[in-house]
Amino acid sequence: MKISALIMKNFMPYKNEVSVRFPQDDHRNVMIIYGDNMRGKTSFLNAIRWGFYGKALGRHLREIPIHFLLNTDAASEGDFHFEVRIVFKAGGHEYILIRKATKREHVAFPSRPEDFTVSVSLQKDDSVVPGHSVEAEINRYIPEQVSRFFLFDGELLQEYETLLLEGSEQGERIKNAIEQVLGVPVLTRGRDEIETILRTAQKQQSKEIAKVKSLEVLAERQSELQDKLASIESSLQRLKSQQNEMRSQREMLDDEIEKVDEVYRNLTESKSLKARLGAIIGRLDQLGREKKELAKKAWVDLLLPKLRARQIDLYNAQQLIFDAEEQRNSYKRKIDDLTKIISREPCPTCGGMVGSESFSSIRDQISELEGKLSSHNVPDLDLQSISFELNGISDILAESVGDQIAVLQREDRRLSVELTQIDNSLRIIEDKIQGNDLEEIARKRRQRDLIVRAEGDLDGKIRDTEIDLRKKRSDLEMISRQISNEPAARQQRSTAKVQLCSELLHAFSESVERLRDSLRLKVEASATQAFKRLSTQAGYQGLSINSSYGLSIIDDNGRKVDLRSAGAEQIVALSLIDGLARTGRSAGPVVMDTPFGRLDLKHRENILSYLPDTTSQLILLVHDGEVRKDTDLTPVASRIGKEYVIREITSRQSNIEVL
Amino acid sequence: MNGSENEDMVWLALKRTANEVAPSIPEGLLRQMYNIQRDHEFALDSAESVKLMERCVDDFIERHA
Repeated sequence: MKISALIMKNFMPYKNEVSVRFPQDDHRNVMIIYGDNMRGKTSFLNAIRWGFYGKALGRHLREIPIHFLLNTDAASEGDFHFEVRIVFKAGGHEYILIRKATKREHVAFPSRPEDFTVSVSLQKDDSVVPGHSVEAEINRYIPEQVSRFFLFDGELLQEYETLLLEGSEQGERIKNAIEQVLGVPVLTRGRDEIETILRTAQKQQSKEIAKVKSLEVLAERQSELQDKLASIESSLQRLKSQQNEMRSQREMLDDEIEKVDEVYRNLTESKSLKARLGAIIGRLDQLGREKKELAKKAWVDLLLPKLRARQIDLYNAQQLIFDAEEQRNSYKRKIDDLTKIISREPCPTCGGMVGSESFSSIRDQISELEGKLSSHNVPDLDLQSISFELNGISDILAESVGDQIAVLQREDRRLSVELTQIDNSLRIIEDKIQGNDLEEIARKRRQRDLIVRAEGDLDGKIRDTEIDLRKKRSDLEMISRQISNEPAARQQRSTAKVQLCSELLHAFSESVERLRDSLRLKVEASATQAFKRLSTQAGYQGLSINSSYGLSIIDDNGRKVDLRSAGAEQIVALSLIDGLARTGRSAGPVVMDTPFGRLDLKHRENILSYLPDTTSQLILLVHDGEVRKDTDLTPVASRIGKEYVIREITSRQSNIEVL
Repeated sequence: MNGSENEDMVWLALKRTANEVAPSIPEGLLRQMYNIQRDHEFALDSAESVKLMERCVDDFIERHA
């Protein structure tokens, strides 16, 4: 089976008509649709699902009410019609499936599911398939019950882990879906329907043999057991329907409580943001005050050029004083030295004694030096006051008022930006919190606890009723056998029918478990084969299957790997799906929404190399974060038949364009 | 994909089990029953398949009366 085209009109973000052609070449059967988050990848998957089955699924696989499927822009323009057309080929025929939803005439603005009417039509080659046969015709190729194996996203893949918990409620549901894809219902439905026929035949038999005197008692006993059995079956059905109702109520409450947990998280975040907001506002006030104080001294900055000039003058004057002092001291030292020489002391320079013939020359030198000393003037400046003034100027010039104000302004700007961000975050969080009644939330938690307890009681009643049912069935079987052994009864036509139906029932019932055993072995082998191709761990031996079709990884020592990473879970889930597809019916195209979120590059490469060979068409809805167009698709480049990108037109409208 | 292989698995499981636990059921009748169920596997209503199976049983009894 292959999809040729999908045409959406006003479906979710796809306003007006958006058409997508699918690849038809067996060797280029991969189609990639790129799209950022919130642009419409899941809506594309939902368009296929709604087109085929009239259902679109949201979080936790809950059905999205139909009035949310209409594009909001189209609705605001008064266009209340949306539709999905799927052109596909299957079994040598071409089909055009059209599902439309339109606002009811008397409704002004549709806001509830009941405000829409839905119609579906299917054209097979040149003829129209009658309305009552449309569903059966679709189910021939892509039954809704097994759609989880070819229309799936990351959330669905995560569910397969629950199969490892044998007997879990969710695991049981998935197990049923798995058995549907494997064809087990052919035998289980056959068994149940033959039992229905047998029951009718037994009733007929009771009536017929009641007329035979020797069989009256047995006939009465059989009739009584049949009535009891019918009553127990009806009770069991009622209990199971109550159980389903309770489960669905609890799941709804779980969803609401989960939403509430988010409210609590938002409340905590809101408190912490408000505290930060208060601190920022306090600091901004303080900064304002500091800036005002500094502004009072701002006049000082006007004097800065003059102060710098004065500083230079003072440094120069200081230097002049230092130089003059140094010169005067030098004269003094020399006069002292020469005076010592003529006082018959050793020369201070060489240590020798100077002869008296040189004294006259030395006295001349002393006299010359004394003259210089007396004429040498040290500037009449107050070194102490110069130093004091210089220190004062340096202090003022070290950090100008303007620089200090600039530092404060930078902090002010940074805090103001943070303030705006916090303000925006708070507004978003408060929008989320708004309308949540905390008392109502507590009430829902109590209600959920009550339901869980009631479910436990109901489970017990169902178990008891099933035991009773098995016993009555066995009693009835015994009576039937007894009656069949009576020569008078054997002549009755109803007895022949009871006998034949009993044998058929036995054959169908016994074959169910045998089929399950052989299917499990085959799924295990096929999934292991896929796992070895997909996994990057060469050391693993393979996978091992349990009675619920849960798969465990077996390491090189033959032991189960208990802790599995999120990526390993996804690989195991994909291996199971592939194993089921190889064991079960033809699944045709596979559409995967954001499938690589938890996988590293090597695993992505393995999947991309493997899946195109195991499906008729592989449609991948990916975002930039999980697949880089230019590099990551190299392993599958030659298999890509079509590439599209989802472009945002407005926040409520997207379009799909050929890349 | 291998729909027919899977079909064989289901049919073989039924045929082999019937040979063991109810050998008197003719294979032709068993195959008829199997085909009805296979064709109605995903039907929401079981009324039609029950009717068809009952007719098979009645016809068989009629022929072998």
